[in-house]
Amino acid sequence: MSPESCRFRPMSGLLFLVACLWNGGICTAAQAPPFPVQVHQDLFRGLPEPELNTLSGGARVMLLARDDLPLVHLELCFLRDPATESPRTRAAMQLLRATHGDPLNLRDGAAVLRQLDLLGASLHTWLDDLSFSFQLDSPSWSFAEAFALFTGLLKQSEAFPSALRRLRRRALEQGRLSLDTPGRLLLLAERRAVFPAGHPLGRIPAASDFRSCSPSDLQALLADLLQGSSAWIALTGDFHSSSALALLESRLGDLSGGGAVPVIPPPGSGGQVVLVDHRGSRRSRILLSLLVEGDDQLQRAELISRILAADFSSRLNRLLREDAGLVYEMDTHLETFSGFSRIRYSTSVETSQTGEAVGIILRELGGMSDLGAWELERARATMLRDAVAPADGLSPLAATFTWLAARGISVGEYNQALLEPLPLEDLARTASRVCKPGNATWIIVGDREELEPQLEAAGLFPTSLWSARRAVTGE
Amino acid sequence: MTTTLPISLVPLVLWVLAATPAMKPDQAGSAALGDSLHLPGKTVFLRNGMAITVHEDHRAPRIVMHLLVRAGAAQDPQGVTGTAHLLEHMSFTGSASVPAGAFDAWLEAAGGESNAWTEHDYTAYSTVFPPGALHLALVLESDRLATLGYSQDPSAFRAQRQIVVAERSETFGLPHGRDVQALNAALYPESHPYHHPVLGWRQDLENMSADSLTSFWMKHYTPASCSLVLAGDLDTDHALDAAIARFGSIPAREPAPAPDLAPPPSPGGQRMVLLDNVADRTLYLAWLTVPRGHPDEPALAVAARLLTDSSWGGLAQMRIFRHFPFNKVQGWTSFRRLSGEFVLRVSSSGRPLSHLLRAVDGELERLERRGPTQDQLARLRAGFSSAYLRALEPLEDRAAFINDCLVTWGEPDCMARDLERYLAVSAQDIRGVVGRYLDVDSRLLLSVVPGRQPGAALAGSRVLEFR
Repeated sequence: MSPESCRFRPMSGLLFLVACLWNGGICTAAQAPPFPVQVHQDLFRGLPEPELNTLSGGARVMLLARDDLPLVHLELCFLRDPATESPRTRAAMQLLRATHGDPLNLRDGAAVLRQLDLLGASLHTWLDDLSFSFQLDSPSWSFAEAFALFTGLLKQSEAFPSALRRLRRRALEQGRLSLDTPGRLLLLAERRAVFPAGHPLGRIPAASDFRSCSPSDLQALLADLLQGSSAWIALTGDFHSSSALALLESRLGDLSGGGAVPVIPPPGSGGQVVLVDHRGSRRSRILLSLLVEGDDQLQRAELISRILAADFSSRLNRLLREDAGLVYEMDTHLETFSGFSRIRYSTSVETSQTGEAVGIILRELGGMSDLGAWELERARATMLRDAVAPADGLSPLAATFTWLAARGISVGEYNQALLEPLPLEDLARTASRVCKPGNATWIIVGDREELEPQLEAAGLFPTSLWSARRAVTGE
Repeated sequence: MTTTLPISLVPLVLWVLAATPAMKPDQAGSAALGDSLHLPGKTVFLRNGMAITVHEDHRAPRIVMHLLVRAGAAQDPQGVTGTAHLLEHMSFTGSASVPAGAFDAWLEAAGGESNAWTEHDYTAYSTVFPPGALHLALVLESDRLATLGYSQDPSAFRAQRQIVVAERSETFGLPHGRDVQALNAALYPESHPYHHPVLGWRQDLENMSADSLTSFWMKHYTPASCSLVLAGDLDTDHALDAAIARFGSIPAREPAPAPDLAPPPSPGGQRMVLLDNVADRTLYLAWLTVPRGHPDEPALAVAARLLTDSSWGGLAQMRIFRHFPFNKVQGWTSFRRLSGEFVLRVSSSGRPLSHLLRAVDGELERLERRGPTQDQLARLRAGFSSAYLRALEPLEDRAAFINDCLVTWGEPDCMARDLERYLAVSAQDIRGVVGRYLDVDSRLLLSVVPGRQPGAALAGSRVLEFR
């Protein structure tokens, strides 16, 4: 449930992590406060560094003990190699994910779930482009028992055909509903436009992949996932490190095998403008995707993301929302991989005002080489603010640890990267390169007849026209 | 209406956290739980009537400032719905000492951020910042509380009104984006302050003037209507002194009395249909129940959970094991100052809504006749205990809980007491509330079906207009 009405929709869900990490802003000299405001780098203690260990089978362990609340959170994260996954494997993964951590749907876990309930424990799953994770929350007094139940369940391998049929039906139904959901169309179209079908991140399962997915596919998927060298375990909360490590070894020490952490190649350059026709739509959805490449792109991508959109005084939120009242919110979302990042700006606007909004965005993209020192300081302050936010909670902390591990970044490197000095001119050069038209992929979902003339008048010329079906199915 | 994080702890624990309960913890667990469910703090009441509470929590270098104003959409003047919410938006556009655009720019430059929520009973402002920005945050918050009503800029007013129109259009334009608001409008008569959406009727928004905001602010944003919580990496005495220095000088004003109405009439078995841009068929069953703090509140919340918990609720079990083609089964309770609601939602792609209704009625009857099993009760209790613990993790939630406790129970530290109310719910209590409140004759049945399929609604449904 969300608040009935709020000033700005809080970011949530999966990207709590990314959302916590990436935001943005601008301040003109006229808006500078009448007293000095320091960016509180001295107060940025960074993320706490976990204690690192390796289990005998190869699984890596990150432990952070903290006794402020009698709770323990376990994040069991398996790194995947998207380059080896077929669309059918992806379908199997989505079906597994569709269980929402409730193995009752796939396995004979009813008795185990009941016992977890009685212990006050809960189990969830998480799926992103690079990993599949299981998350176990428990009061500290019952963690050992809950952990034993969970690992026992994890190593079972039966999948029930009837449950699978039900999940398949649900997945297909969701695919059908996507045709009428502009927000979903926007994301699917962007994924297809940025990552071609041959790219590891471009293998989107079709309805036929879901239909043909069998119990043995799920068993094979689990067997592939549960490998020692691809397993990262983050344990946070109220425990003693030595006994926790012994417990992990006793239940997960036999996880072995697996390959190296995969490196995803960046997609090709942008330059596409895709108009997805959604006839009769009274509002348009706009998504702008920018690629940031380079080994040192972590901090730069985040700052560019924050300067252009996110917080209320970011450039686009100031211009599109606060000044013009055209949009309710301008979101930015940053996805980071080893060697590249993808910034996605998105918003929704009345169909008749789409050209005006696009014109403002184009103008700001063109002006990104002209950055102010105040803008940089502000973006850096919000970046540090969000970097320490996960320290409040055991689950955000553990998720941050495994998120970094999946990208081959240690907590120390991350803390250092955020605080590294970055000259304004240097960032301006990167921003200018990242925001040039040839690096941008635009997706606009809305009524084609009304939008085409507006977009062309604004200086944005669609290179492809897709139907809603094309966005969902690729055909 | 969805009750939400800033004010209502119970739905948060029930629905936002997907924790599933069970028996009370063992003795060691019980002791740990009891020690942990406390939010120690210091509360002072200023001479102008404002409450200030400080709670220290040094887990991270952050402070949360949570300001709760006991005025919301229920106080919107007749014909000017949406006033409370638009005023919330305007409160970020400047005050006597803070020029336009500076509130966010200054705060964000110092590593802070701010957001706000409006509900029918209250408006909440939440600001997060590093310890070094405490002074700045207090300046910004106290200045707008003291002078906001005198600084309404016409161009900012027009822009913010447009933003709200965009928010309304975006929210209500989504598939099922209007359902809950429409349900609310159907449950409460036009004369009731919970009838209209918080965002306001579109026509009222378009006709609204900046003067109406000033008038609302004068009447309702008084110090005595406000409760401020500072939680996080701070020193209690220092933070309290600083807050008192900023807020203590705001002159007292007599707060407008909150509306005190007779309970709204029961919807009396009405059937309505909302024709919308949706692909599936959805049926809502809704009842008016009790206000926040009522003794029956915990049993009603538990009953909703017993019916719809995703893994073992009666309706969810039917979906999973009997292949009844519900696409979705949801249920929630909301308890507000004047009234509460109990809502069940089921949807299907092709099955007639009358079949879904029969299935739900069967489960309700079963729950009233047999009550929950001991196993279900044990799961619930364990889940409540751990969910209350987890709810203490985010600093933002801690601050909101303290304000919720103050508003509901008059004390800042009520978590343990609140949990006890839930742990004490018996099978008999549950059967009792199902029989007393969830009967066939006093409910509203709302069908939400595709605009081109009006015949998919329950027979006898009257079309509900909601714009």
